[in-house]
Amino acid sequence: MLSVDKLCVGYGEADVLHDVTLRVGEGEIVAVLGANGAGKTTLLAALSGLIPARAGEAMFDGRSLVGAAAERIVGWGLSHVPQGRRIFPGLSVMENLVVARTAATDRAEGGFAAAVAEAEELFPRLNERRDQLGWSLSGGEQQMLAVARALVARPKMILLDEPSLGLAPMIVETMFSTILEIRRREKVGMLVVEQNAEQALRVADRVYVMELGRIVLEGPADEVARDPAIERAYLGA
Amino acid sequence: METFLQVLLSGATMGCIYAFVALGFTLTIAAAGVVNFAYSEWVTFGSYFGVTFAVILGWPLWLALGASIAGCIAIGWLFQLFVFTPLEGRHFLTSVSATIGIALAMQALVTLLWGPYPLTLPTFFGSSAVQIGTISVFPHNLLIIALAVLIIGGLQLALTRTSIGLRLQATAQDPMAARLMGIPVRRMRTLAYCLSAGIAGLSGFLVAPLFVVTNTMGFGLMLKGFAATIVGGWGSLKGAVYGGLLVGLIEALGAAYISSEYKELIAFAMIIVVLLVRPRGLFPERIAEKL
Repeated sequence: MLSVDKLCVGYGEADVLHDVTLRVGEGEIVAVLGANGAGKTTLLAALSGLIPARAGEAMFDGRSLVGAAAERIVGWGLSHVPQGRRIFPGLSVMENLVVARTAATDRAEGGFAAAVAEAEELFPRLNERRDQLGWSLSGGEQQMLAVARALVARPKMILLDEPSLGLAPMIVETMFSTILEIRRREKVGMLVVEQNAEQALRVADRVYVMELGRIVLEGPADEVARDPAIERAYLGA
Repeated sequence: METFLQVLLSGATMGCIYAFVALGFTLTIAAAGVVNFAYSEWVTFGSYFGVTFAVILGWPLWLALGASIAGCIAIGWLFQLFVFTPLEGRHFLTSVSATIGIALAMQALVTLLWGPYPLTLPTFFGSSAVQIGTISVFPHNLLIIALAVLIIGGLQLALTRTSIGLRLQATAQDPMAARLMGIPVRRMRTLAYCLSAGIAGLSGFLVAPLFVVTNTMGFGLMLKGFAATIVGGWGSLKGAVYGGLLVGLIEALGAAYISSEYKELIAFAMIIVVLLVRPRGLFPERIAEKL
């Protein structure tokens, strides 16, 4: 579904990603692990069209993502939940969902109302907070809203940038369980970028490890989890 | 009592005009972080378009009003194309200096196009006052107030109740996240520029009959509109409206009861007082900080 080939991305003089190659199949959950500054966020930003690629190719569902504008890519079924949630602070929970509505939302059975109902079933808290403004939500609620906003667009795949960032361990645990639940229900694939290797390895089918803008290791999650280097670097064992 | 009501009415009339100017000026700040100091000239052009269509070409006033608004929207669109979009992403002072430069050029252009002599624009209802109870009222003032209520109320509804209005708000609050939602940010910004320009055309047309039309008229209004923006809270649409009304009312009351010589001084002294008490204005914008 998503195939990235030798993608190179940079800002100004600096190259951030070097020849990144990865695949995410339909309904597959793939995690990209790496330390701060490894280029994980840049990778997602390049895939969703926020920053241009310098070389290489990225195909999603038969279309090239290279050179495509961010506002179009979401319409192709690729939603990006950015780092820091980036929910609209001055809009209510419901209004945040309203602006996330796309043509695909309306095409799906039940339209917008059904999409909101499904999102609220996954995150009942959002239903209680419907009319509350975005800035007044807790970090966990903001993350729920950010994921719900992505789901409203009826994506085929979701790019998730550090869903655990700044959240209490228990909330992180719930968030990752919900990620599995979303895959089970909606059959959407996910590319999750994380520093929290423990949680990411728990939900992922396959894992890529990034260092300084390069993929240095890849494999099934259980195999990568047993790799001694990974244990030392990311699991603190 | 009669004097007080009379003063209140004329203060409210000017307050509505200042509210329009402040609102149009704030719209581009809120939507795109663009501080447009050429806004004064957009208003001036609104007045001169009105004179051109209504007096020189002799069109009916309503048609002239529509054409003036359309003319200003065209100016807004040209600004978008040649000024705002190319400067996108730069420091806000870049758009400040660029628009100040263009404002000076536009002021000179007015003299070239329409000559140095003040012009006049008639009102919809002639120039005689109507008696309502014990006070005499110019129907044009009532029209200004009615249009302000209608347009500001309509804008409020459009921004908060329609999906395109919510998308415009989303663009203002977080353009990057807006793009990820599939919102065409550039088109949304163009819409905000054109809306802002349309309001300039309307206020220019409405204010012209109250004074004479000169190439510096927009500048005077802009000063008060800018003050209203500061008093109300930088970047806040609500603040612009209330700030505008407040400046208009205080200016009128000060002129009537203290001294008309010092009415500008009174208005600006009030601004200093408000800023001393509430440094971020009456309705500070909690979110979407651009500066």
